[in-house]
Amino acid sequence: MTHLKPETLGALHDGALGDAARRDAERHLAGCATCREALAALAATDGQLAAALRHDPGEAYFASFADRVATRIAAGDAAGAPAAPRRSVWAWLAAPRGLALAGGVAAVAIVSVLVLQQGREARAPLANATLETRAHSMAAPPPEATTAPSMPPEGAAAKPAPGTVGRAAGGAAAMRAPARDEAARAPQRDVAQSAPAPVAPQANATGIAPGAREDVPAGTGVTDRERAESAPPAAEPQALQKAFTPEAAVRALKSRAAGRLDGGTPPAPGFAAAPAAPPPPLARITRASSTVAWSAELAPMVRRADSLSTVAQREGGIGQHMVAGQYWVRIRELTDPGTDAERFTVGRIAEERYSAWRLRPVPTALAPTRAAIEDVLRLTPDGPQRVRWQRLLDQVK
Amino acid sequence: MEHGGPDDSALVRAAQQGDRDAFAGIVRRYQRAVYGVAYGLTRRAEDADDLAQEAFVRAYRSIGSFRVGEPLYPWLSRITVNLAYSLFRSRKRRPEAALEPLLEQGQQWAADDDPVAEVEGGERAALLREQFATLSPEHQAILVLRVVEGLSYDEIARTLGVPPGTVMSRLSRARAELKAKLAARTGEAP
Repeated sequence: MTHLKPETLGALHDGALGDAARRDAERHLAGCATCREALAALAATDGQLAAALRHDPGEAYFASFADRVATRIAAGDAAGAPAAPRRSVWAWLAAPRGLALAGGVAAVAIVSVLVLQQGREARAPLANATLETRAHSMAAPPPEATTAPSMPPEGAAAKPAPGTVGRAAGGAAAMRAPARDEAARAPQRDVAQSAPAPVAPQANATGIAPGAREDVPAGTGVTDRERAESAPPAAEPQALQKAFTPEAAVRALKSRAAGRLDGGTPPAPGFAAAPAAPPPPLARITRASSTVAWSAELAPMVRRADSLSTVAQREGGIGQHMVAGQYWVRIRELTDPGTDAERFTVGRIAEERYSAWRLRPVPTALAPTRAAIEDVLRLTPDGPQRVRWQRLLDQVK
Repeated sequence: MEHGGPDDSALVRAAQQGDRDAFAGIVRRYQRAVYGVAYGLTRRAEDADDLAQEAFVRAYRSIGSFRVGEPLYPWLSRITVNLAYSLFRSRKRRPEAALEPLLEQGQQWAADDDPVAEVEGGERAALLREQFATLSPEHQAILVLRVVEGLSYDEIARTLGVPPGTVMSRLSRARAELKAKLAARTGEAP
């Protein structure tokens, strides 16, 4: 008996055969166990392959995706990439957004004149020397601005200034400005250096890259209404203030002063047993990642892992905890053994694994979680920190 | 799985007129599909993120030349696949590191809670990913488009710019190659 050709089997499985060919194939299958088995094996492998190659980064990731694309487009526009579709200036100005921007430009021009006039009248130094110094430092343009006052240099947006990591504008600032030569713009290996945080609700705070982009019409990217629709409720900027960084603490204080604190109870110290869902975020044992001197190669990955972790804590996302853990595993691979960075990384791996296990304590997660915490204990001397880790390990059983 | 919808043309037309909100609508409509292609071809979340975003940036820059009425998804997929090819060319991929164990197992958590099945499923998935990574970029692309994303042969033909007959034969060769590689690793008859 002549068996069906693999091509035919595949097309049959894919529903791509014409009616006549399909009927012939089905007639053959009815009497041929070998071909039936081959078809079943093909279907099984396809199903397994699909499962192995699928990945769902989660709703939060996609909620901010369009914003991040818009920001990247804006960054490219500012860097001189060819603009997309053009329409006439008059048609654009006639649109409500154009009118709004025109009004805004006029308002800025008027205010600028007033400020300049006032500035001429009030050039006396501040009485407080400290404030005077601070005022000067705040007034000083960033390094980029000194070299290119009217247009950020290509790639400038991809290199946030030290200390800006993870702040509200960080997602946008971390965008890679597209190169001018599109044909030469293959995605870089070090994508983390160029790409924004995968979940960047902070981009919603501004929508557009900061500083940007006088040459980009107002309303670039996504409208406020769409931002409001696409952003999850918890993605309010103040919710991000739960990031355990000094900058976040400062923002939280400012937010509290402004009466905008979300009222959430801060996580209790220690690691009590997991309450009913949704559990409150875990208090971190490890210190802020900003206390470690990361190489230029690793810093973007660290930012990404931090961002994922923050979202995971806020939303109780197992997937984000696991992906954050995966980031830290990769970061550890690229970290010199015995360094402070490695010790820190080991702690973060353990924290992310523990957090994921705590959210869903399935038996298969026990071993890797315990192993990660034991790794930390091997590197942690006696003291309160070690006691905390030991307490965590005792829970993972 | 057929993609697209009656509103695609309206969105494309508006985007071609410079309406960025309309383009954002296109992004939201196809972001999961484009990410799926990007992830299937790179198998790294960070690469997929970058690739998917870059695909939409390229699409935005070229939307003016897109013919209204043509299906959008094959065009977006083609951009994504071409970017992935560039990525493959621009770096010599190191062998895939072992999957992060927790992530691997975590993917099984949602499927079932049988520990034995979880471990076996995880091992099989790891083997599939490992062998899939050794296929040629063309074979990887056609498998992702068909098996992962469920594109029809016509859509794949548009995406890859090949005749539909080539889709059938290339897909068959890709499946055969993967099957042989898996058999070589597991000792089973191919």
